[in-house]
Formats: sequence, C-alpha cells, structure tokens
Amino acid sequence: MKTVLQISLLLFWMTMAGATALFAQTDNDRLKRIDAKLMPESYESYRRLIDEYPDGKKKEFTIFSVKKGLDKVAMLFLAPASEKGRTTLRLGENMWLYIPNVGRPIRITSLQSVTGGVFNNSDIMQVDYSAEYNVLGSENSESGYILELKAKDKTVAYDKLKMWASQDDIVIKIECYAASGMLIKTLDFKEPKDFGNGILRPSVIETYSPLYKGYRSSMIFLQIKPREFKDEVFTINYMSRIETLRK
Amino acid sequence: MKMLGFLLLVLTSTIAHAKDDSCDIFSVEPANEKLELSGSFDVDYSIYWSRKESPLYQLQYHNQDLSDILTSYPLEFYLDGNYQTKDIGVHFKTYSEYTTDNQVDFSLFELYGSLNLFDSSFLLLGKKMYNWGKGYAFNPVGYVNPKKDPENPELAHAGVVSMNFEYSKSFQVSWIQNFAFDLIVLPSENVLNNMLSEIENTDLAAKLYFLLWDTDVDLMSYYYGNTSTANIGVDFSRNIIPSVEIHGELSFFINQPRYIISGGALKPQNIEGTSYLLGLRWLNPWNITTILEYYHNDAGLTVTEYGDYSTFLSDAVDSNISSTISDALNLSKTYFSGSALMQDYLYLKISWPEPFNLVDFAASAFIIYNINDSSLSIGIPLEYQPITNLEILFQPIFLIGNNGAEFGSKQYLGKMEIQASYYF
Repeated sequence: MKTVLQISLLLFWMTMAGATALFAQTDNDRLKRIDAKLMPESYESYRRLIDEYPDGKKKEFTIFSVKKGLDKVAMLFLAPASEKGRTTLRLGENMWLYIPNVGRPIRITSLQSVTGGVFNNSDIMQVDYSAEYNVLGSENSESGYILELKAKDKTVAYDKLKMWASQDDIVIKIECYAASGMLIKTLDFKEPKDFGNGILRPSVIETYSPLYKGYRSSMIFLQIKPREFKDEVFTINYMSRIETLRK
Repeated sequence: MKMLGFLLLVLTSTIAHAKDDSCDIFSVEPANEKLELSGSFDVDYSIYWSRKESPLYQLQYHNQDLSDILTSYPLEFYLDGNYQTKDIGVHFKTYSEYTTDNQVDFSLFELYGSLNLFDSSFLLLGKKMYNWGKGYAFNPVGYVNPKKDPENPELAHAGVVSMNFEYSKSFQVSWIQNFAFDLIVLPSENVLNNMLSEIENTDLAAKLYFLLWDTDVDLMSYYYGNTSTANIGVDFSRNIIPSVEIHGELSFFINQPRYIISGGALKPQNIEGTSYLLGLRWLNPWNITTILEYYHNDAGLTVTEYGDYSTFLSDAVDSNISSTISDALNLSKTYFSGSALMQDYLYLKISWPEPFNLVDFAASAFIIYNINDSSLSIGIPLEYQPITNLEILFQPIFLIGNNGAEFGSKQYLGKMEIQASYYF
C-alpha cells in the first residue's frame, strides 16, 4: 500500500512538473510570437523620437536603425544637426556610443538615455523580449492575455515586465518594474499600421513614468523593412560607417 | 576682406544645408548619393585673468604693460562634407578661425577616401583623425591620436596622413563575439621641399581588437620608422554592473624621446618605461555620471625637473635679452606644451544632464589634479540649449597651485569662456 502511495505521489509530481513545463513552454512561445509580430528578425527602420517636457517643450530625433537576430541593434542619428552622425550599437547587454568628433566608441549603459526623455537606451535599442526575459506566468484579459516576464539576469534594464497582448499576439501595453516591485514606466503601443511585407504592428509607442511626472516620450515608426545584414555590421569598427547602409 | 570671405564661407554652407533640410523625405528614403554638408559655427568670448608673476606670462608678453584682464573673441567654423556611395566615400572636415582681419586660420582636419573591400575589410586613404584607447581625459596607448586637451577631450582635432586597412570578423560563440585588425601606415611628417619624404621614415601602427566575455580588449603597437623607438600597449573596457564601467590602458615604450632642462639648456633623453591609466564611469540613480581616472606617465617630468624648467624660464625673463626670451618661448611651445607635463594625475568629472528638471541645461564639473605638485585645474562647464541646434556654453576654469607648480605657473589664474554654437 505504501509503495502504491509513493508511486502515486511520484506520478502526481511528475505530471505537475510536466504540465508546468508545458505551460511555460506555451507562454514562452507566445512571447516569441509577440516578438515576431513586432519586428522581423532582421530589418531596417526609420523612427522619430519625440520627448515632451512638463513646460511644453519638445525635442525630436530622427533615427535610422538596423537589427539582426535576437540581440544585435545599431542606430544612426539623422536629425537634429547637433546629433547627426552619432551612432549606437547594442550586442546583448553591451552598448556603445560613437560621436564623430570624439572618433571612438565609448561604453554606455541600458539605464541611461542617449536622447534624454523617458525612453532609456534599452527601450530605444530594443532587442527581442524573449532574448532578455522568461515568462513566469500568464492570465487571460478582456482583449487577450497578460504575460508576466522576469529578466534572465541582472544586466537587463527592468527586473520584471507585465505585458498585455491581443489574441493575435500584438502587444498593447507593457509595465516595467524594478526588482523592488516599483513601477518604473509604462509603454503604450498604439495606432496599428501596415508597413508592408506582412508587418502589421503598432506604429506608435508612448511612454510615461511615475518617476518623471509631466514627461512623455513617443517613438513613431515611419518605415520598417525586412533586410539581411552581415554580422560584421554589428561591430564597433563599423559604427562610423552605418550611413553606408542607407545607400 | 578676410572677414567678408569668412562670412561668405559660413553663409553659403549654412544656406546650402538649409535647402537640404527643408525636404523631410530624407528620413524615410535611402539617402541620395550626393555631397552632404554639416558642421557648426561657434562664436567665442573668453575672459582671462592674467597671472603676471608667471614666467610664461612674462615671456609671452615681454615688456608689454597689459591690463590684468584680457579677452579674446574668435569666430570658429567647422565644415564637414560627406560623399558616400554604397562602397566608396569621400569625407572632409575643415576648421576655420577668424580672430582679426590679419589672423584668419584655415586647417584641413580630415580629407580621406574610403572603400569597402572584400569580406568585411575596409581601406581608408588620406588625412584622418584616430582615437585609440579607452581613457576619457588621457590615453597612454593613443599612439596615433592627436594631442588631447583634458579640459575638453571631445574637441575635434587634425588627423594624420595615413593608409588604414581594417578587417572585422564576428563569431557566434559565447566567449568571443568580435575581432578586428587595424593596420595604419603613416608616411613621415618630415617632408622635403613640401613634397617628398624618405620611405624609411614611414611609421607603422597596428591594433587587434577583441570583444571577449563582454569586455573590449585592444592590443596595439607603434613602430617609428628608421628608429629603435617603439610602443606596445593594451587597453580594456567593461561594464562590471550595468551602471559601472571600468577601463584601463597600459603602454610600454622603448627608446622614447624625452626632454628635460639640465644646466640651463634643453637635454634630450631616450628612455624605456611605462604609462598607464585606470578609470571608471559610474551612472547613479539621479542620472549623474561620474568619471574618475588615474594616469601615470614615466616620460613625464618629476617635480625637480619641472622646477628646473621653471627656473630656465625665469632666467630667460631675468636676462631681458630679446633673443633669449624668444628662444625660451619657442622651446616651451615645442617641448613643454600641453596640460599634462608631469607624471601623475587624477581626473574627476561629474556630469548632470537636465539638473533639477531644467530640461535645456546640462551641468558638469571637472578637476585635473597634479598629484606630484598638488596643483589643479577646475572647470565648471554649464550648457544651455534654448532651441534645437543652438548650444550656449558657460565655462569658468580656475588654475590653482603654488608658484612653480604646473597649474600654478600658467599664464592665467583662470578664464571664463562663453561660446555659442549653431549646428547645421
């Protein structure tokens, strides 16, 4: 009798572990589908960043970006003139900034912002969410589902994310939390747009933060196009030559 | 007339660019293959508080009874041009400075052509500014760098005529992500008849770059043609936690020329030694960035040697002989210029963009501390950006130290620089 009980318990826990792994797998697959809907794996894009300040002032930046794979992003500032020619590179959690006058890349962090405003560097050089986060759990919402994400390690900008997505795996809203549980910022994904090549996704990301009352930043996608790149485009030696990719 | 020419250059460049910018389509279409101009126009106004007891001041303004406060108001114009196709590019950067009608300087900082070669390799020919090393204020391994001003390390400088071949390779393994090789060939700067130089005086510089375990590592070497002088060095940079980056440079030099004053005359030496730098950059939760660096250079002057140099300048002043004064001034400019003549320095810079939610402001402060003689330079740059592309800089700098110490013997007690820069 005791043996039967032990076997039953073992089977029960094995089933539980299997089910947990299965659901986690399903949720992680959902996250990968969200990533795929947001951006092709390899692409070029043009964006406008608008930072709005409490006194009503605005700062605008026009940016050309390229991405390859899960975690390689490079970016070139096209406007304003005072920023033109600056480039940034992200390889996983490594980030660099190249200023033409300085003539060499310097390391920057995901926590700071090359533009100022509410978006930090990890928001501006966003890599696939599945590259940085594991899914802890999920629940259904009115319009789709909510994923609870946990950073894979401490180098990731936010410790936890709460992500709202529609039934067809298009992200609607993300809340970003520190390890202490404090809400750092909210990202609203708005205005779905057909960018061609099967890319239908929100064209505007707005962000605001309880830490920066009265500040608001927007990222407007003007163009997204799938494109293949050599790995060597994503090296610090190439940072001064990203402009050549626009030709 | 020269002022008119200077203004014409500024106006034509900015108007040409304004026409380009009126068309916003550039932002979403591939850039056309055309010459693109950009740059900045700077209006400077600087006030200097003279240190009249300084030997350097007395040499510079010998027998001139000047006011205690001097001013300068140069106009500066940087013009960059880029013509880029998919694989070939031509780039130039010029610097023009107008001081008076009799003093208009034009410098070609950069002019080079570039070519994307096969398999992630790249060739560059012409005059180019390089910047090796990871240090912010000092670069012991900056063998090909222009002389850096620690008071303004981000200022553009003239490059060197060179041929640069570069090869990059990425890897899909966890411990090494990138590798790059740089070879720079530098013809001799000693040109005969403004045209020819001797091939054996060609210098060679090489650098290997690795991104290893999320750490930037460079190994570099510089060989001076037709001499036994050589440098070899290593640098690194790594984020130990997201908010803290550490960096370092170590350079060994062999047969490095060094100049001291001995017996009242210039004495060249060749030495072997090391130079190194250790630094960190820390971003705190209030978005304040702190850079701290320690720099050592065996080739720098000791306190005694700097004292000998100061005595040499004082003796030249005391001689009251024009030719001696002129020679001493020339020797000072040729062999003892720069703002880090001695062996050990600490550099600290604290930067705070948008302090107290003042959106258009950026405040910073820096200290360059000479450990050997306890003199220091303190600067407090304050930037204000009232509209897009217009920056106004207020920068007071104070030079503090005993008479005879490095910063205490400069011509000026301090200065206040006000600079308006318009970018186009």
